[in-house]
Amino acid sequence: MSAIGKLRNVFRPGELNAEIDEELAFHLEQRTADLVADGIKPDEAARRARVQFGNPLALREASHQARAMAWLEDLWRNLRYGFRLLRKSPGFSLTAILSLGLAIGACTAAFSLLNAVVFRKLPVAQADRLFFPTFPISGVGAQEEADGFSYPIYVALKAATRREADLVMSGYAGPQGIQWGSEVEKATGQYVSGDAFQVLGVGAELGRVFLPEDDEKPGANSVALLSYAYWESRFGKDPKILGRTFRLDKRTFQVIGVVRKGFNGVEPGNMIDFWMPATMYLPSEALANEGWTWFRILGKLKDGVSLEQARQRMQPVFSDFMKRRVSRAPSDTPKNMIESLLRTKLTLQPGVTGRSGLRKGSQTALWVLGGIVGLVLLIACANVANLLLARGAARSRELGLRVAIGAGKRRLIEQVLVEGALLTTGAAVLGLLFALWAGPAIVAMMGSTRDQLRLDLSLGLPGYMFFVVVCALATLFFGLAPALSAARTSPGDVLHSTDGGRTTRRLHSRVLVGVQVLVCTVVLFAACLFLRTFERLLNTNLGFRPENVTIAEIRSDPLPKGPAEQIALWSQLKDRVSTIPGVESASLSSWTLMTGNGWSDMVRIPGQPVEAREVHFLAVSPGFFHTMGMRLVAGRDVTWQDALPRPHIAAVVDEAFVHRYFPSQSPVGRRFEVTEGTGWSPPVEILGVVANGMYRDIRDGMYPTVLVPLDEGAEWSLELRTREGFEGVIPVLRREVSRVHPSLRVNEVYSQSEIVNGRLVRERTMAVLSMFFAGVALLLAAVGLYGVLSYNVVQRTREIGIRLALGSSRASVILLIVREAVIVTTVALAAGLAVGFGLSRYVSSLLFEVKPGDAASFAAPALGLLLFAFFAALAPAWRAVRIQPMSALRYE
Amino acid sequence: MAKSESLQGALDLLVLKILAKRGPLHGYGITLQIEQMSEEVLRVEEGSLYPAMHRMEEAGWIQAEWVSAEGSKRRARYYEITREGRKRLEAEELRWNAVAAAISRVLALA
Repeated sequence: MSAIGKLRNVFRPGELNAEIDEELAFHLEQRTADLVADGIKPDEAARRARVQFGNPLALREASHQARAMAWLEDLWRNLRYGFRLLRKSPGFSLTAILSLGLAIGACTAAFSLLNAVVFRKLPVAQADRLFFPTFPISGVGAQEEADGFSYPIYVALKAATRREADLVMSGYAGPQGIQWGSEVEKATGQYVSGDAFQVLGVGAELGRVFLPEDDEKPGANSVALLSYAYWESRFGKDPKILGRTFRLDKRTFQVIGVVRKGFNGVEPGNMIDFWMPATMYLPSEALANEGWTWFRILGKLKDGVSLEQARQRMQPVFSDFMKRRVSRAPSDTPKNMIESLLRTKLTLQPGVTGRSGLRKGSQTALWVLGGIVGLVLLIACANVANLLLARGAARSRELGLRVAIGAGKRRLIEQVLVEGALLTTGAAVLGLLFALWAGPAIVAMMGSTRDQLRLDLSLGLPGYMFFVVVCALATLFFGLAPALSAARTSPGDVLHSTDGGRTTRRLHSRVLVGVQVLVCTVVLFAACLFLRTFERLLNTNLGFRPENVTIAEIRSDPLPKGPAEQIALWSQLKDRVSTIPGVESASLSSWTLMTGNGWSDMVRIPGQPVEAREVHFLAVSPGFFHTMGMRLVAGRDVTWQDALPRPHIAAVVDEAFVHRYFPSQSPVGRRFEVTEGTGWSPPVEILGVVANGMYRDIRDGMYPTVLVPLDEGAEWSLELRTREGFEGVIPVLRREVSRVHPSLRVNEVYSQSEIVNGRLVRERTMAVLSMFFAGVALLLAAVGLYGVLSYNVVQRTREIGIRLALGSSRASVILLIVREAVIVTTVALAAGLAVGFGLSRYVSSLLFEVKPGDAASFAAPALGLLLFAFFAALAPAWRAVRIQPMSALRYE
Repeated sequence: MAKSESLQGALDLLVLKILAKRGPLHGYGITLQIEQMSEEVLRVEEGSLYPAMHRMEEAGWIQAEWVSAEGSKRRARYYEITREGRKRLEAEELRWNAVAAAISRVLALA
């Protein structure tokens, strides 16, 4: 018989057995007839025929196995049986599938995020040969690894490593306003060297990629490449895209190609929409200026060259640059600063997964998130295992009976595992759908309204492999205890009535509930830390009031000639928009607060040694402090006249600045100097002092800040403090701005609150997600506890009945039922807090003003869990005290 | 009830040989043939023939067909050797003879 016949036999086991029985019966009949013919009595003949024949049932089983695919048939039977069981208890099945699906989906989503940000290899040829040169600089706080280079250095490094590696440049990219025809839109553009695509081995889907010639003459090649994704989403893969043009910063670029699918640049988290040749960079003096760092260098090692060999080629060039830089520094720059600059060592970082600011900022958060959802999966598994165990206990008689009539133990285990696999399959479908939804949802959450995060979340082969492995592991984990318990079933269980396998099963379920509570505590603890961090940040005294402040980016093109004329224009603009109905006050500045933007310089107090520390600078117009709601504690605001006839000779400083440089003196009227070229600026007079605030970023409030009067410039932020909501003022603002002068244009409008919220994105994401999963964990742990307690009551019905009959008080019965749960919960809770505390140092970089030993973060999980344990115990305890002694005894 | 593999092989060999010589037979017929030809030396548990037959059927060495016996309500399942079965028989026979000869030589020497 063919495999198909065998397969067919799987699905008609009854018919097959009947056929086999018929054949065997024929044999017995013939033998009996022959024996009778030999003169033996019919009864005796039939007996002898049977003895000679052997056990017909066993033979039938053997034949059956030969004629059908036995394993498939078993599977089919187990599947049908499993389905029936799951349908019989929809509450259990639904809980299991939902909780597992949620957890599996969350794990998969977390993996897709980590994959997109951390793991995924760049889709280029020989990605493992790539490297990014970096060097340490002293940042605001600790040392940072800088990766920015200037064009002249790049050219020198490239020439020096000609034989060891191919160096290409990859510009820092961000959203830019580009214009297709009359439509202005935001797209992310990047400057690259002409050989970048060739070196990376990335070809064109359409047209051609850049060649070195496209990058030779500065400003000469207005050509651009589009990414496949941009071509697809913006142009619907229009094949006529080649030759089309767009405008950017007054230049017109022509599209000469579409880069092949899958390549979106070398910076995960920043998908590039279009590329331009590096020599098209504006302003073009950046190409000649050694101090102007605006791109990363990406290198690719040649055959048989080690990273160290390439590094040794690059170091001397870099050291020369450092020497030149130091020679330009002011003569009284501190010695140790100069020495550390001269000693700066270039490091070559492996570039196989690209280089990403997003990775630096969010890697820890993503790992922690992954850890949390992994723990939730653990809880969900323990929960399902527990429910399966409890049900197995309820079915122990049935299982015992099946063993007694000869079902193999293997079959029982198989059956439990198949049932588990059925649950997982349901959960997997749900989980995949959840992951497809949750991944983008989390990405949207991690981006701010102004700065959206774009990630390629496609699972790909590693993603699906991860998904399958997680499903398999989950099945194994939650199927193991019930399977073991089933394997321990012995025929005696039937005889021993309800007590069969009770002790081990109860031990199993106790351990499982313990694990659930412990893990749940850890998750709750982590969630509390993140929530407290977010709360602390929200309640931080910012030093200004972001509410009802609207920011508009204004550009003047063309710009009036002299500084005085420019200042007059800006002053006129400020006065005009201040009169818009609903606007309380208006001001201008180089950047608004808390964008992280500004510039930093060293300052010197005449007569004092120079400190090797920098301060933060921002240029502001009169009224800035008032508009932003900052508090002026001494002196006066800046005026337009302070920037004339010469800028930078007067400034307002903050208290942190005073604290550092004039700790014991009244600062107003005093002077300081700022680095300027190779020397120091003329003295700057302190006009006033503002209170401390989070002017630069929310996490370094005490950073000394200097606010200088706004002077000449083409592009400023305009701040408006409005009375009513934010939307109504924008159209009026646009109209008024163009009325002040036709050269003025409003580029982008957003609110100060958006900026502040954007700075809290990571913390908010962590708080919201960890709270959500903590809620899920808590719910699952409560379900687990409830299951164990209910099971206890069922198991001990008779015992409780006897106790009640003998006069036990209800309180003692309740105690009997909940004692175990209380002990397990308390022990697991304590252990969980200890584990959480131990793990918390790994998340300390994500916390703000919250210590891992935070009392509230200890108390909240404990209280929450005890409360849930109480509710989980209510119903079983109620059922226990309602047991009627008589019916309990009749139970047998 | 477990049988050693060599005995299993022997039973297969007997069945194939009988079917090759006598044409289509039902299970009981094959049992009778084995008894007769081996002069009742080989008396196996009769039923164990059937799983063996079904296994050989799966292997494609024999094929089966239900035939209604005249005057009886019963159907009998008749087995017939296939071309593949004949090849198998040939190979098995050679192997068996070789082994048997070897064993007899050893026995004669010892």
